[in-house]
Amino acid sequence: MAITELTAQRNSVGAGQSTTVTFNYPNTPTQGNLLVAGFCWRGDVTVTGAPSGWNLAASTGNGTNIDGAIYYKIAGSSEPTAAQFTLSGSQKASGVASEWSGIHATPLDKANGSSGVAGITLNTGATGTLSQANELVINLFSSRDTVNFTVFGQSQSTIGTAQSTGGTTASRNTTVLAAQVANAATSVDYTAQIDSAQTWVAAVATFKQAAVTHAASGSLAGQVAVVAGIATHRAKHTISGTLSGQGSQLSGVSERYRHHDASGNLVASGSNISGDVARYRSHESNADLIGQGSVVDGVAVRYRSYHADGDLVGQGALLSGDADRSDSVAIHSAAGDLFGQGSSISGRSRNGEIVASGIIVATYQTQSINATLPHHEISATYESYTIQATI
Amino acid sequence: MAVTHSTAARNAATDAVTALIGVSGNLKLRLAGNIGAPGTVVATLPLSEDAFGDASSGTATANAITSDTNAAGNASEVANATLETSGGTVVIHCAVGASGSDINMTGGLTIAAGDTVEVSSLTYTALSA
Repeated sequence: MAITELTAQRNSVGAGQSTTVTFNYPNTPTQGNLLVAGFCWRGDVTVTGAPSGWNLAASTGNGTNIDGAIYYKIAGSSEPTAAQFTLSGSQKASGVASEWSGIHATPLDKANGSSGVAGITLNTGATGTLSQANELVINLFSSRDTVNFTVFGQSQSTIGTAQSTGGTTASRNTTVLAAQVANAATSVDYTAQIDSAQTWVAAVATFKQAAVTHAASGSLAGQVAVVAGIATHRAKHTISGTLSGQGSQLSGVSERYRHHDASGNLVASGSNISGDVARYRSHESNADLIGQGSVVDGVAVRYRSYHADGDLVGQGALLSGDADRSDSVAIHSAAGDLFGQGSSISGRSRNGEIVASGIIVATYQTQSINATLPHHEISATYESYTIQATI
Repeated sequence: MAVTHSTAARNAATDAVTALIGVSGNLKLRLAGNIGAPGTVVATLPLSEDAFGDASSGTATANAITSDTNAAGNASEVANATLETSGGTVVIHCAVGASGSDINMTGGLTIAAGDTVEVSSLTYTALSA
């Protein structure tokens, strides 16, 4: 909420000798608005009484010559239009009052005062760094005698000018109240000039902008999901069709739990299912591997199971692999025929079983052969063989 | 091709993220930053003990968020917000703007000291449908 002056509420005092300084607002001030009164008086008296709820914001003085003060109040309900201040002695005084909206409920931030002798340039003194941007800066300038203010520095706006009355002009004073909303939270120091060198006083008070209520709502949506890159867990490659042509290949590397299934045919030289897994690999080929160099192979550390339920046909047909340990459950089986020169089942397991036909080359193991082995040879080392075959 | 997810998957993803906020987290409005280096905190709004309800159709709705009635404030505009644990670990980082942003805020993006910041509604969706 922007700070705004209710210019219709401007009022001023220019009085002769009196112990009171009374401001009269044209209309009842609006509850919650800031009321500001700046006034200066001749002589070295003090303000001994302020209207109910009014607070001193800043004061200034120049000994016995001229003094001044800025008072403020946040208007209450049914705020009186009159605000009367009492001086400790009868003096000539002049001042200006105004009303502002958009001000913080606890408005006063910074204040300062200054004075000088035989000068034409008045300055309020630096405020120090303001607490926030957009503060209302109220500047009070007053000079001995009836003078004209000719220049107001820093683009401040004049709220009003008043002069005390009675006696000689030299016994009076001229007072200006000016204002500006400071854009930044920096220190400010405002000036004004008069047309003849005089004793002067000035003061400044800054008031914070009303607290703003920021209402927010939102709908947070994650980015559109994208899957890209390398997956290292639970990969499963499944091919249910036929891979045809030289070089057909299903391969990959996964760290755990890989399962390669090829339920169709791998046809032509070089058909290949291969890969490495650390644990629990299962390679299954339920179809025919046909052609030179058809291969199902791999390396598993533990618990590997190879199954080739179809035929391995052609020179070099091969079912092979190594198991390092705990292969008590491993079974290498080739339920079909191994045809051709060099057909081979080889491997190492402690208690495995090989059921096959063809040339059998084995080490370490107990082998069971249930096959027709025409014109083939069987070689083995270390272990006993049970052969149920027609040779 | 965009990846799509079942409703169950989207609910699970959303709930998993909001659960990371834990008990008594905070929504903080901040100056510009990123999730690795969040900007200066300008306002802090405590989340409910359970920050979000269970996700439905992939989206979770925040339970009541306590307003910050005395914001720390800053002369610069807020640009981001974070949803974080009570210990300050950022879980979600998003944008704040006057309109068309993740979180839209009225009253200007410059929050002065003492201002009030309130969030009337907030939803979170982890994955697209």
